[in-house]
Amino acid sequence: MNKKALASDPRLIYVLLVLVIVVPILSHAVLPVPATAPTRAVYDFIENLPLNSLVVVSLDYSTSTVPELQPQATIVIQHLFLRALKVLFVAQWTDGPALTDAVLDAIDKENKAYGTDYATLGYIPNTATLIGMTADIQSFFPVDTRGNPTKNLPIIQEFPAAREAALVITFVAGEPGLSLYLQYWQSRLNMPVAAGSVAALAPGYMPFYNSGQVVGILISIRAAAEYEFIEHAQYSQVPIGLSGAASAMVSQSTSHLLIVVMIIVGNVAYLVNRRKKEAAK
Amino acid sequence: MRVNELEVFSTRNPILLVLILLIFIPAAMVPLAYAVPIQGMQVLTAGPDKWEEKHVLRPWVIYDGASFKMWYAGENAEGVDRIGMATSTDGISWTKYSDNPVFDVGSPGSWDLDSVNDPCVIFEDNQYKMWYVGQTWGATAADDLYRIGYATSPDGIHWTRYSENPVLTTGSLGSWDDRRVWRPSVISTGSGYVMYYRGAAVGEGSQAKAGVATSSDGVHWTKTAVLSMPAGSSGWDAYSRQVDALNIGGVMKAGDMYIMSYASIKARNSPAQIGLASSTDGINWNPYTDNPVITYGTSGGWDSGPGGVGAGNNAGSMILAARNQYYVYYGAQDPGSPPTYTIGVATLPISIYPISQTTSTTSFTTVSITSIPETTTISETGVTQQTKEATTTPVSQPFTLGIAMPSLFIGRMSQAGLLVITLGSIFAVTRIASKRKLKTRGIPGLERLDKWIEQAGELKRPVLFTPGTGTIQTPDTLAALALLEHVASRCAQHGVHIIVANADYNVHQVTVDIVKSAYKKARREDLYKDDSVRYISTRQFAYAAGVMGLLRRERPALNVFVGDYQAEALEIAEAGRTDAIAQFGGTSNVDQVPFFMATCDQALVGEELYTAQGYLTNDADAISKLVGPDAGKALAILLIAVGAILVTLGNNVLTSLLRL
Amino acid sequence: MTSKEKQKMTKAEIILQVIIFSLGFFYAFVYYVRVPGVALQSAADQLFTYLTSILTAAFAIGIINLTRVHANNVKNRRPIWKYSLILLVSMYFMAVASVIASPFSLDPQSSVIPGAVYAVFFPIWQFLYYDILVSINATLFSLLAFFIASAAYRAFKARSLETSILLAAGLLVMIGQAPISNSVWPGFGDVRDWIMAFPNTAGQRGILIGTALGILAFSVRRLIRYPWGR
Repeated sequence: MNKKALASDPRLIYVLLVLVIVVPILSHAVLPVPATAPTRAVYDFIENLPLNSLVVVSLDYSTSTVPELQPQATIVIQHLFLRALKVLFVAQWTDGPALTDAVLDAIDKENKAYGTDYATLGYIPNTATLIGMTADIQSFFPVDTRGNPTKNLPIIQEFPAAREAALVITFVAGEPGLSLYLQYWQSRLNMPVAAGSVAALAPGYMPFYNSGQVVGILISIRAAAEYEFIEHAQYSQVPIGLSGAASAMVSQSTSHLLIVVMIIVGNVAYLVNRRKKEAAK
Repeated sequence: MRVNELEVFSTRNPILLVLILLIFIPAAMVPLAYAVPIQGMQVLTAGPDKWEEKHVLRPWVIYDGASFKMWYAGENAEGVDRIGMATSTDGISWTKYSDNPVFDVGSPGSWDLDSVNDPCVIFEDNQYKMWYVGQTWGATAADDLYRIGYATSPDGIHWTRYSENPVLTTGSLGSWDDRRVWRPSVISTGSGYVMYYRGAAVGEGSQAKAGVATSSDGVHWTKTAVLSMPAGSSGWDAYSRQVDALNIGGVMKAGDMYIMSYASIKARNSPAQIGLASSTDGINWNPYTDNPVITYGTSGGWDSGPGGVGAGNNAGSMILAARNQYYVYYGAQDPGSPPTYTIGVATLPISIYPISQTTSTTSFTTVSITSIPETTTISETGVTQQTKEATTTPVSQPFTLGIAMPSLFIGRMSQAGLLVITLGSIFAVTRIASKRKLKTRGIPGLERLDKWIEQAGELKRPVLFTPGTGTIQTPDTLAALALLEHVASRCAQHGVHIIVANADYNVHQVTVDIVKSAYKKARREDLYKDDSVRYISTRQFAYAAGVMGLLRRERPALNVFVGDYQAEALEIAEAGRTDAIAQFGGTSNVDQVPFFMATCDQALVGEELYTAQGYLTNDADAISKLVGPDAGKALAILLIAVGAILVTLGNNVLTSLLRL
Repeated sequence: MTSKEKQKMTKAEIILQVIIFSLGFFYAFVYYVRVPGVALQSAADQLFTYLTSILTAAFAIGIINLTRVHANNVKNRRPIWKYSLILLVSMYFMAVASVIASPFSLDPQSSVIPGAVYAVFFPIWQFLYYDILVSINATLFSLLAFFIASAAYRAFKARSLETSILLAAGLLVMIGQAPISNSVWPGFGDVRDWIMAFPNTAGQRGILIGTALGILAFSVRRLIRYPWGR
């Protein structure tokens, strides 16, 4: 391989990368991943929630981060539906409601009824709504995304204020997202918050996890795979391919290793060239 | 109207700066400010003695003007409760009496043989009077009988039971309290006594109500009323009010007003929180507007168990006024398995319910006592001496200022103080630097920017400026717009066509204005085209696609990416590398900084972005603006270093002061 | 805004400056002080809501600008006029379809719009949204993978001591992140966690503190004296 060619024409790198990512996905290879502590924390917290508690799920990401966060959302929401919990869906990003519907179509709802066990409230347009819904959901969401008046929904009658929720989970790819929940729900009202985040933002959210303000963080698609394996171990009716994360793990490994190899090769070439130049002087 | 030389609106104006200080310092210092709900701190733990090794519950505290005394129930592994005593000089650090328990269960065959708890003690007529709950256990927990008894003591330690206990029994079959009565809270009115207690009916769980009974002698009681509490406005007690259960903690009388602490839950399985209520007649109550006042912890601490604080049959709460504030003692569960109940306290400012009396009188009507008879049997120290404000802190406790305030208030106050000091140091250093014309570190990228613009003019290629994907409210965007001013005017001077691609329509309006006036000033309106400044899309990757297309078609010589960027930054920057001569980037988003460093020839990182505009205008004044924030940074470094050392040595002063 | 150009402020500018100053400091003041009985915080929140409402309403400007620019392209037959046409058509069609038949619909229970219209639009909307929009957005985001690869290849060169350390740390984190490395040596995950938790967080916090101080000084300057009259 001509190393100079690599440096000047990135297309070779791209081709290798494509091969290394696509082949494992097409071959449906699966790589079990052990659970890390932040993922485990979220799983255990949900598993230990008292029966019939309210959980608020907030999808704060857009269509571009669907490959990273939709698997997380799918597998966590499936977990919520497996237990006897009540779920309210909201979103701080405009794509949230549509993506919520996509997730709900993908999971097995275990005979949960819309309106009694779960409801999709829709988009949170501003901070005032975010704050206000903690005290009174109905005045800030008079209808849900399907047009039903919220005052007629049994789940809203049972939990008229969001502050009664036992957990808030937000799947976040940017702002508005986790920081608003921390600012207005966690620090003012002491509501537990969990987050699923894209890999780029996770380092910025780790301090919140370390200080205990967030009960746990799911970092990128890898956490979705970890979660899927833990969930499958306890609830065997959940298939391993549900979120699609498990097969992505092989691609992730191979692509990471390819980049590592490329960097090492590039550096070796660079150092060899430099020595040659110095020897030539 | 012309402004005089003093320049009212200027950072040099000392009056203005003093005004700013005046806003924050008094605002922070005035104890009017407080915020609820707060969390309390643990003061009494279970064990190690066997009699109280499982739980410590249901505290009752009295204050005699100099020190505090607490009676509480300790539970052993078999579930039997006995009453113990502890003393304290500051209400926060307690010493258990060496010979606890001071009140044991009754003799076999008596009504209180199985368990005694729920002490309620007042000091009157030179003796301690206690009402307590005695339990007779039945076959199942539902058959347990709780009734209220009476005992007296000269010293709070050696008790004599009243001969005809129990003094308050369950009601007749069918009444609201026909199964059990417990949690007595007695107030002496001078001419008699009023008792608040909880009662439950047969078939009821913990949805117990609260009732009132009166007596002239403390042993013969007449039940008078059942209480009901209006719901709180915030919904914190929705479920409790719905099932009409009143988990009354303790009631005190302050002047003409009755004050109650009570626990409630918002939904069926929510953890409990504590609120306050007041009443003028003791029967009709008004909840405090900002309820709940005390809440549970969430991160595994002593009060983060599933039951919450002050809840259920076990934890209890009570309120007392002492030393110009309110002390609320309550029990809470920890999240262990099985959970352990321990006792804690939270202090609230007297301004919640201002009392006209001084601190020495509390819930009992006798004059403050400074000596307690027969103190020789009590082994703790400091019972009779005048207490001083806590100036030293035991290393394991959170820091208390001695005028214990809700912790949230301390945090805000010290935040305000820190803000004032930081702002002050920034502007002071700025002034000094501008006067002395200090040579500061430069920002190399900014110097090359002009050269690159010139080169673009020679090559007759445009300059692309993207102010990021933030809204007009983001500081990064504002800083980018400040830089755009400079770039646009330079472009106009060198005859270069500038293209601005926006992701936010409000930013778009502002950029149109900036670019148009820059070209107008340099009299090069011919260079400004209608689509020079364009709005592409608010959607992140549609914007990236649009800008990448722009880069391919227009082939600018210089790409300037400054502002608030998310993931699209790398795509734009990499796509621009192929054709551009130079790339200049800047952001304060720490996630994107590595990408900028890897793809841009020059990058502004973090605060360099905010000081760039001042730097570009290139005079002493502006350079000093670079130095100002460095003062703030020095302060931050100092605080971090000092705080880290202190925490390593075990002292929590700084962290407690600065915690939110 | 330099000291050399001591600009006098006009009357209008002074009034505006006073308004900016007082509103800005009111908002900060409310964070630190709670006066019992006076709902200061909710007043501040209300104020903020008004502001965001005004800003949000300006989205019409964006639409107008887009329509104008691209209609001009089509009219003058600029080289990219076909793409401009596609943009205009798809933008307006999507808006109409979303209003009629989507989770953002104004009439989700078809009380006004006849069911037949809904039945026609909904599958089209679903196709456009899930099959085109989501896919294209996800693809564009995934482009990042390639750009990161080429950027990493170019940037991670051991030119000096600092870049060598950066290189080593980067390699360790990447290896630790690859799930398969766990099977080789479990310690890779711990190394990665340590690097992310300590040096990385420390560096990020340093930048954050610097940024916060910069924002503080910048904002206070703007509140005190906004540079009017460019």
